[in-house]
Amino acid sequence: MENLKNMENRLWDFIDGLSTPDERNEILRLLETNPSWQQAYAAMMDMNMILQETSLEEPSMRFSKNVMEEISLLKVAPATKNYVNKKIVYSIGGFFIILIIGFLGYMFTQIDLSQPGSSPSPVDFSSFEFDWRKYYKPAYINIFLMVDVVLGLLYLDNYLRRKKNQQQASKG
Amino acid sequence: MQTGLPDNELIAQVLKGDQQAYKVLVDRYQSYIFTLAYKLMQSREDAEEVAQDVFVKAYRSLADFKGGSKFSTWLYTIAHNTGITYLRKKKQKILAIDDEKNFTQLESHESDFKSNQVEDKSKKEMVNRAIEMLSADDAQIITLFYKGDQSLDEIGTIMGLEANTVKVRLFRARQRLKDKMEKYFSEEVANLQVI
Repeated sequence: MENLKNMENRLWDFIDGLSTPDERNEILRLLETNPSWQQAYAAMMDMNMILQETSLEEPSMRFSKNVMEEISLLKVAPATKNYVNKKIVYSIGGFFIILIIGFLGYMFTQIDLSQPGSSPSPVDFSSFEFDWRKYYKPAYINIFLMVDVVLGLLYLDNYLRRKKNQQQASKG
Repeated sequence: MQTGLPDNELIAQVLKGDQQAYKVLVDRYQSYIFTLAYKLMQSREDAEEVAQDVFVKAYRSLADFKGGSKFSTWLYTIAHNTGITYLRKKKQKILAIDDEKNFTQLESHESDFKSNQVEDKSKKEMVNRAIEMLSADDAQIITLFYKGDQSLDEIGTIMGLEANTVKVRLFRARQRLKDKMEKYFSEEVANLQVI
């Protein structure tokens, strides 16, 4: 069974023109001498020919007219690269890379490599002087959550309106 | 007459504002796109809608086609993605490559097919019907390879697969097609027997 699959695989590669020159020569030799290879090759060539001769499906007669009617109302959109400013993309990417490097750099400077046994943690948190409490106040968090809720409601409203319009359009 | 112009020249004309040049491209590729869509949708109405959408999308994005690949490859990629999106929207499931789970669906397709066997006498029609019994992926790969004039690399680009994966899938698709033909057209395909 494995041999049969292997033979078919090699023959399809040969028929599809994917074999290496050495492999081609080897298959040509087998096709001259081996009857089972000859039989398989004939059957596969027949299959290949039929597949090449299959017909395509045709759309309705009005198809191209429908397409042309639809695009008559449209314009070709400008190429994406004309309105996507690569400098902005690179700037955003650069910002995050610098941020990551900064954090990694800070983290590595805090690791005490000279006395690994003296501290339970390799990172010396005692020298970490950044006071988050100055910036993370409950008022800020509440404002942030309120903005999120308002944005969520706006999005939901927009979504429901679109749904309603679609339903009306399909009924109409 | 524009009908004999190569794709790239027609595209250049469309980009200059000649909308009629696009009609030549539509006429040139409508059967290919429709066939691909039909293999995915299994419904002429849906396939026509998807095919129309493909040409409209392609027209809108034509300025983004840089000629890095064949126009047909670019167009088939849009067709593949549009078809998949359309199917997702309709919450239909695409038939997987290993289609054991889809046996019931195929069986029902096959029973329709059996009842019409007498009418379908030509070999081409027989193969077309056998391709219809394959999963959407198998049918697409066979169509792109044999009718769409696409290489394994190009099919990989269209379907988002590695060329080697496409090669394996094409091999399996042909095997499955042969099995279907042997099962339902044993007399006609007697000469297609490998062993």
